[in-house]
Amino acid sequence: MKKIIVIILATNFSVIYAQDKKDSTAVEPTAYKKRVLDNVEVDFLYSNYLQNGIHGAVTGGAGDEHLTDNTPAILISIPLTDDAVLNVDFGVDLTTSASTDQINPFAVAPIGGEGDDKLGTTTSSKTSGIIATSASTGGGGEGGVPAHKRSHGVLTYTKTSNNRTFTWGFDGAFSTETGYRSKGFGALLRKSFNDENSEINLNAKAYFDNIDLIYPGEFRASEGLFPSVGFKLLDVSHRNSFSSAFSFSQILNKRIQISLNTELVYQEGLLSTNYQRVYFKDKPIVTYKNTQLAHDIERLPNTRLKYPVSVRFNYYITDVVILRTFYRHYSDDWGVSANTFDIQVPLKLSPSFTMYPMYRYHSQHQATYFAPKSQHLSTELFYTSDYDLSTFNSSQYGMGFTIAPPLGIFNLNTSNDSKSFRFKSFDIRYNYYSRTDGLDANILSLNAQFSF
Amino acid sequence: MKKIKLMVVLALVVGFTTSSCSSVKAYERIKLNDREMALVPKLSARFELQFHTYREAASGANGGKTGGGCGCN
Repeated sequence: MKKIIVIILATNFSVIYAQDKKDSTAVEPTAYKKRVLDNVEVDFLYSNYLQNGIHGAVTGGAGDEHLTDNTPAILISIPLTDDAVLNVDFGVDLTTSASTDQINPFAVAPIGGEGDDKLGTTTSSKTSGIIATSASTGGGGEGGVPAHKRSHGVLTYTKTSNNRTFTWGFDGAFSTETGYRSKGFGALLRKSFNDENSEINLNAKAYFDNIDLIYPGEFRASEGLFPSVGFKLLDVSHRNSFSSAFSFSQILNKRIQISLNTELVYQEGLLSTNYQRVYFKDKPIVTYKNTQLAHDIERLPNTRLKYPVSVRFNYYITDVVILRTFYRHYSDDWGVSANTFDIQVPLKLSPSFTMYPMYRYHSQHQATYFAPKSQHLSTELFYTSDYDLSTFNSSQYGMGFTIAPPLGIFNLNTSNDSKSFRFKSFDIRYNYYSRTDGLDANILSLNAQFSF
Repeated sequence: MKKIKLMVVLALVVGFTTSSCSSVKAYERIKLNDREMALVPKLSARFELQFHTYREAASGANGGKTGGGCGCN
């Protein structure tokens, strides 16, 4: 495997270097140089996600998976010079989850008191039936369930060569949520050649995450309720991820272009979720206040190597019908393998208005360490009952609409000045997602783009 | 594993050999430059990519996020 990584990286860099050397002899423009980005561009994004299911991982693979997620975000692209662009990407996820309040269903707090733990655990459980004072501190949640907040941002700087065939850049990212903090760094190289009919992209990223070790209530010494004999505390509280993505895109003719993409992702550290329960079939289940006490938490290996390969194929069939397709084969060293196929058919009903029906199919074979609730043996080394790692097929279908008139929506640009305000485009899409294990979800997304 | 190696090698070979296709000039790319022809997911699809990353064990090679953030819910 290491050989493959080295070969791919070496090939990528050598091709980029070779092409750059070749292009450096080209005559560069001296009088006029078009700016990489003319105006400041701002994208407002919003998404609403609603999920239901019956295999909550926090409750050991059987439990409510109801979840809502509202995710506003803003992206700003600022031209710093003729060649350089700064991108600012910031967003917030506001999540309410029925399973979160199952992490510690035994907590009781005085009215108006502080929450039990950092995840805003509440005792107003939907599934345990415990009636107690809510310990929620999150507020803003749905039906008394506290909101879980995640803030994330990325700052990216890119610079393009004078002949516009080579771009390099780097980025810094952060993500912070209750009990989990992440920071990341990345670098990118992009090289076009063959009269800009071909392009190579190389992207490398590293994320360094820190995790607060929050255990299910029955494993907490502070609770003093259920001293669990033999429970082994986790000794790792970090997760590091390193990825290297390579893509090659090619114009085949005036109507067709394709891209081939590979990515290698290596993760190490705590790759399990510390508050997801596991029940063994060779141990008796003890129930306390309508809650089944877990035998252990999820245990997974401390390393994971993922190697997906994908291809995109876009075909401008007629002036009305376009075909966008995507296929990916995924494998990793946890035994997961998957095939994903995505198709969209944008219909250009007018120069300004596009309607695009879409369909996505995903077929996945489970991780070696997965088994449903009460199917694992306590003698196993690794185990999980998280159905995200199970065998399933999923289908997603929906519709999207894009409005993008050449002069902007409402033609707000009243002057000839190219730098004046313009409402460039509006995109809205809805999708329904259904998994064969019973999980389903609805997702609505919006994107409004402006330029100044 | 052998299958993956083969696919990676095949992808690279196809990629580099097709780079010698006859060139389409810049003024002939009106259709290719259409926003619907972009070889990346639409910006409005970023949240779908994110929830696919969380709800499915498979991810990557699609411009989606592959690290950072818990995705525990």
